[in-house]
Amino acid sequence: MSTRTDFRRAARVALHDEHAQAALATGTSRLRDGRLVAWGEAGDIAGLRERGRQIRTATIADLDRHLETFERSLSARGGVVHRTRTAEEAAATVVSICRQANAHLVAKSKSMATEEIELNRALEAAGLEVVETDLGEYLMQIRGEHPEHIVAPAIKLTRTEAAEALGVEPEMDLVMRAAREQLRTVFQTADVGVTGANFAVAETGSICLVTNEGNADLVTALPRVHVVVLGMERLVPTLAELAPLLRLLASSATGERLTTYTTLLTGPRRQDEADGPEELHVVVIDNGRSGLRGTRYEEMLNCIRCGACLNVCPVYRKTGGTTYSDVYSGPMGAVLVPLLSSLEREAALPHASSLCGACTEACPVGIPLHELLLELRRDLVDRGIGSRLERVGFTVWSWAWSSVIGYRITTTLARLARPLGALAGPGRIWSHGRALPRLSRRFRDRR
Amino acid sequence: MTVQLFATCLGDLVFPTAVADAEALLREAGHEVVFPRQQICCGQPAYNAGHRSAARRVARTFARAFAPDLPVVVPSGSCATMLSHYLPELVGCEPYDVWELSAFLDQHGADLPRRNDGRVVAYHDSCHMLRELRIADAPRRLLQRSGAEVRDLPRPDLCCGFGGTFSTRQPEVSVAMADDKLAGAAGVVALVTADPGCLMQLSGRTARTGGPRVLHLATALARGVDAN
Amino acid sequence: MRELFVERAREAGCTVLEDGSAGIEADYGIAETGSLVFLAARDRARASWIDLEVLDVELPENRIVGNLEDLFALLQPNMPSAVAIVTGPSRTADIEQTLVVGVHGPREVRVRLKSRS
Repeated sequence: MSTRTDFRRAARVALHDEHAQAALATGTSRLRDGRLVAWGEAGDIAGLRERGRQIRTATIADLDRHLETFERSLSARGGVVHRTRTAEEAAATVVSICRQANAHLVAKSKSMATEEIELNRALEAAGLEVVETDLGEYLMQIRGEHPEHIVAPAIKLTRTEAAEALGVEPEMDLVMRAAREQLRTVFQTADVGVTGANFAVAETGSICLVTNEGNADLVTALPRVHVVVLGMERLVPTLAELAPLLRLLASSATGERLTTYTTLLTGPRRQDEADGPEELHVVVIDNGRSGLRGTRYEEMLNCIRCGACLNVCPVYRKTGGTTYSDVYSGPMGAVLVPLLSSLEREAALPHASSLCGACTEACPVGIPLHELLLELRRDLVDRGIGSRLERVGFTVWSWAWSSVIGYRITTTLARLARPLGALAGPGRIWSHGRALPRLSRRFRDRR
Repeated sequence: MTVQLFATCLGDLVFPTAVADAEALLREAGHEVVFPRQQICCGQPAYNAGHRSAARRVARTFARAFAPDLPVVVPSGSCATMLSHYLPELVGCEPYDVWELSAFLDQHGADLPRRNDGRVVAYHDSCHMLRELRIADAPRRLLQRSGAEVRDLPRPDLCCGFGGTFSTRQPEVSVAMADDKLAGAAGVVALVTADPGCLMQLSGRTARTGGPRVLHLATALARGVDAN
Repeated sequence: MRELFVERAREAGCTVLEDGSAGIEADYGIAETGSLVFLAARDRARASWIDLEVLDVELPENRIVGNLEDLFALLQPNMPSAVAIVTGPSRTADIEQTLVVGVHGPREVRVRLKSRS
């Protein structure tokens, strides 16, 4: 994954983009409202969330067994499972499958896992043409940009920008028709369809795709070969356990009971079927996930990628997604990206948060996101990564403030030095946009 | 009853009059207030930045200063959370009977004089009070009992942007969050909050940009929203 | 269950007609969500329920099941290669969070319920 080393600089750019600010505020509000309404109508939403948490936790605890069951079930149905460890391996495996299929054109349905392994770049480097068929992703691809939100990738675009990208006048109707026509050819002529998977059911060897547009269904119906890039943690043991997770995903992501197309694919086409792929390959990606197992961060693997945390995050609302990384953003991104990549490279992300806790409150499967962010901050300190100045500062502060005398001396000095406070350090940073607090006679001395 | 008052470091240093207002409210409600003089800080600034050892060193001063057998009242939602949720494990002491100020007054307060008759105010929920302590009704009820009309902010769930070290690690985002919060409070006489951190953030911003008066709940109740 | 299906299918954006026959036959309906279920089969292409502007569907009433679990219980012993659970017309809110129907799939879904004697 690409890294974002300077969150602050990228954030400044986003903050100055007036249109992006308005789009992020409206977009996240709508998605949040949708979830709140859907949860309100769901009946026992607390019970459903707890059930979801239990299913996810139990699955991750026994993940190896479920992966084996999945592989056996799918192989029995004529599918091929490829287990990979690194992002490079996974991308190379997909390229190899495409080469074996003599493919020229790859049609893709939205998949964050494919972004993680930078698949498009690998395919293009191998001489293949790749087209994203999810409308938002297609537009971002034309513009050469990365997705801004895991559920609504084009959340920042205006209809004018969308129309420009497609070469039509800025009318919604024309935009839709242009997208439909341009992508129809892709569906019909692509050699390989590549999708992600929202879930994979072990007992039947099925892949579950959750979309609203129908593009995933066309990508998996028409091309001769279907490749699924599957995060290893997306397993669900049985169809019966899939049902509540589908309810949680749809209600939390888009405020729906179910998305328009919830499709289960089990192996390639059967004999005499009219369409469907002749080959079905599932490339299972690890890319750092197994490193979370057995740690305090294992719960992060419960994530069902609904985006609910993004939609309530007051920081994401101001910065948008690409400020965090090219792939995952918001609270789940701030936790996951340092863990999949490295804490050294992504030291800013655990601090890209005011720890307000809205994410934890919104997570349908109960991941304590803001507590995991705090854990990451502790790791930064314990491992000696991040600001040495801050570490020294807090140590000195803690010794000074472990006695009343020390507290009095330091705060008297601070009071005397206050006029200079705006000149250096945190005081300078604070006073860019806010008045420095006045330090008058302490409460304890007035009493 | 007799209660111990924890001023908090921000209260002691930056908002001493708000702490004095808190004490006055407690006395007015008929309680005896003790101020343990060895108190300093609960350690939260370091704790939330991941510096556990530093936090522990300072948090120990709380356990040394405060008696375990009397309630502790705190005019700060974030410090009340630190003391009730995290201090015992961090320092290895028995839990204290910690009360955030508005929760205490709501439960144990006498009648409040109507110092805010006819005033239209907005109340800002601090994240700790909203999500960790789940105290949202008590401060609103108290303001209403004082005669104020309490308006809802459009997005009460959104953080004001303080977040301790976040305010200087990501200052531009922090200030933008404060601006969004203040924009929602247009048209009210005062924006009231029960947390010194939020108070410092929002009043620091209005000092530069203008906007509603921002004051501590204790001041709003003890002397009215027009008080200095 | 029939009434719930009709209510939910309408909420999902389908037109539900009480009788008549036209179009393709759905294999099942799900009352909980107002969904139609299509299974890939020898004489049924997967694209047949997607690649069209208006989807006309016949749904035998006795094929309406209560919820997702009920559907899965029926399918689990012998999964077809494709099970499409379709809930309303194709749609997206990808641009300016404005809902638009009929992007790649049908913009209209018309369901005709058929009672069986």
